[in-house]
Amino acid sequence: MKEFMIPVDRAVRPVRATERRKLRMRQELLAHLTAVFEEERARLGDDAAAREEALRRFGEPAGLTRELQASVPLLERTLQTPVHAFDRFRVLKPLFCPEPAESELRYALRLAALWGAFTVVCNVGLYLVRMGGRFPPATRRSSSWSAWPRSRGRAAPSCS
Amino acid sequence: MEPINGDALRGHLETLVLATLERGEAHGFEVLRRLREAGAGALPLREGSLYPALYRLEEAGLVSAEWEEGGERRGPRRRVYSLTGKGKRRLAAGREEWLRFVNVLGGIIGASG
Repeated sequence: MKEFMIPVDRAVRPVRATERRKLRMRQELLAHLTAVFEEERARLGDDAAAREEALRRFGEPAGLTRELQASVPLLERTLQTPVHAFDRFRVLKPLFCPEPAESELRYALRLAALWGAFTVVCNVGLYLVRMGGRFPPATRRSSSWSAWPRSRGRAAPSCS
Repeated sequence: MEPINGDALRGHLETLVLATLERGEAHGFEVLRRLREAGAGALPLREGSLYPALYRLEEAGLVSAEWEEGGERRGPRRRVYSLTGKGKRRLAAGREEWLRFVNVLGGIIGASG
């Protein structure tokens, strides 16, 4: 039976569907292939020939994948489609996951250091952008409150 | 018997499966055995293709499926399919459509002289 798991998995694995649905597909197709094999073995009396005939009757895994995919509801198909744009962030995953022999304390300290470093980098980045002139210091800016009475010819509203 | 051209079968597989299940509930392998038996070897079916058709029928509510109860049989579990009320109505509509198709095309293709 194990040798039939390979063609079944080749057909089912690429299907974009939930693991539950794919498990069901695997079980049913495997049960079918096994039944075909037993039928052919009884007819031909030879295991190798029966296996070959069962696989021929089963059809090409690639063609079956397309048909199985078409039987999956559109919403499920869409939700199970991988977003390749997120793949590049996978390189960061080891940084945030515990290492095999790492103690909890060391992992906690490492995470804290990582987040600390991330915060420092963000703040330095923001500071550099501000120093670059995009956001001039407040003293050099004209305040809308101080400009308002002159431009409109009325007194500025008082807060008191 | 000469196998029927695969293109001629396209679009009829689901109705064929419904008609097969009208004879009683069955798992995939049994559905195929009934089809082969009725087709007398003239139906060129890739057996794996039956399951996507069954899944589509189940999704549309035309058949219902349940895992087979564990009996004496060994090996992977099978699902048993049966026709629903909606499936029976669809089968009746499919039969009418098929008869109309045969009448119209039979009058043209089958006409002599």
